[in-house]
Amino acid sequence: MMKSLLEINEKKIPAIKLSSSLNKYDNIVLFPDKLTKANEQLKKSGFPMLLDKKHSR
Amino acid sequence: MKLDRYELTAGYNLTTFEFLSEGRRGRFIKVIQFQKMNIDNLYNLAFGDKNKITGELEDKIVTDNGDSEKVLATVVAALYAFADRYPDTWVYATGSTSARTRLYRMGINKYFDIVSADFEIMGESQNEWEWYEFGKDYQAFAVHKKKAKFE
Repeated sequence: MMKSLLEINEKKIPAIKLSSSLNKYDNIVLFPDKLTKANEQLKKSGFPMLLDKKHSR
Repeated sequence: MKLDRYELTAGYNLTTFEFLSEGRRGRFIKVIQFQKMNIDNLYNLAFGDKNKITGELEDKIVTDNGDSEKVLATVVAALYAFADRYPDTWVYATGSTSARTRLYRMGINKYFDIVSADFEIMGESQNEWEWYEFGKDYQAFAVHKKKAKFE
């Protein structure tokens, strides 16, 4: 019993309240400037972990 | 180790999260969104404030609410939830300002032992990616949940 209580207390995946009011954002990009900036940066650096499997650990 | 963090609310897909920051300057609604990028399975972590009156979002405001560690721990908690739901994805993060990027780096360094046990972490410096080195200066980060190993 103690072990399971400890596991619950230390669980890293948090309990999250789900709300349908946030579903409306699923297809909306909030902070669009930030996404644009991230994609522009990615054009320069690429991302080998998803483009080139030889980098996988 | 359990970090002090705020209660999270999320949409059913666990891509958009909200929480309420409470500190010395008042209460602020914070929004976190994991956004699809131009490479499959790569998501951008976007984070900012929602104006309580207009509903407008702002990612460059420095709230200075005295709770940055609790806020950071809450963002990390959202990352755990997102990565648990979408285990094949990588999450990309860079600050909207150099100060915020520094805050992310400090957060990774501070909780490096915890986060690196569960995530692979990469850092981007001068347009090159490498495995994250503790204490090194990076402009962006990417993390991926490690696969559970069953023996």
